[in-house]
Amino acid sequence: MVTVEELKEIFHTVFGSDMDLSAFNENSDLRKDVGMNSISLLYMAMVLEEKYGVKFTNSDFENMNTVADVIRKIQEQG
Amino acid sequence: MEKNKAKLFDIRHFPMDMGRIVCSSMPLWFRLRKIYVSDKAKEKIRNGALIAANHTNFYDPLMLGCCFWYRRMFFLTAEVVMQKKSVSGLLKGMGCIEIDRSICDMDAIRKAVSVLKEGHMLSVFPQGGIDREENVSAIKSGIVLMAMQANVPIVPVYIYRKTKRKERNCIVIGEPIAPLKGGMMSNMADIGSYTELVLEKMGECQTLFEEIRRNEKW
Repeated sequence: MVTVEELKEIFHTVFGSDMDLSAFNENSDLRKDVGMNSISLLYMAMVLEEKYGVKFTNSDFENMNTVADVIRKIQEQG
Repeated sequence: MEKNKAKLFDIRHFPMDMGRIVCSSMPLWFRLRKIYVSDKAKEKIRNGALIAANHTNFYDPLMLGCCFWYRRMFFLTAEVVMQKKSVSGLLKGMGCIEIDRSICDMDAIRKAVSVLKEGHMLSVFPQGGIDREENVSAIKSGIVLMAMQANVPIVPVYIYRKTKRKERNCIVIGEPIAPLKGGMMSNMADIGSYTELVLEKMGECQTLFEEIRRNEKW
């Protein structure tokens, strides 16, 4: 089961200083709070696919707004 | 690097193979001239590779097909080109992978990565569409993500479509750029600098072309 802390660590490794992860929590909005754009969202999906074996579809991105949505997606398929 | 060689015959790619046979004779029609930046660039590409080229008109995919006819080549194609069903069926048969540029098109990326992993070539116009500007000023990082996931090199290419009757169409092929060492755990800063490197190499291909053009007094 993936936790917010694990996800934060992955984000920290992958996105490094490009993103402000100081207030990273379940309710953080991926675009507004974390500052992700389409490329970083795609990269996040690729990294999580490799690490947890989840499969993101195009419609997932429409409904995935917060960190909690990402965790839910991993738990549904993981 | 993983060596994945594509099969010589594959029924799934029959329409594309027919297209390749047609393309093999088309350099004469296009009066296409191939220029390589070095001897290393001249070596035939035998495994999966991602071709990053500038895009100034609709003939560019055809010119790339003529240049690399000896290999199966897929194209990442914008959704606008694939709107008509009759055209879209034909293009898909010829190896076009539809990508919707308005969303995070994970399905298209997955298909693209899978053809690269199978050992095929994939052509991408990283400017994201037709750009008639002479210089390539910016490219999208999506190509780097695809190359990184499939662990294949990126080959920078500059295409010149002739504007005067006496000129010849030209393709300048650069040296393959090895994939990012960090793989899928590379950070965004590395991806950004790799994207800049690809842009720089595409620019070098263009500079070489312009030098040759000037010296030969076209």
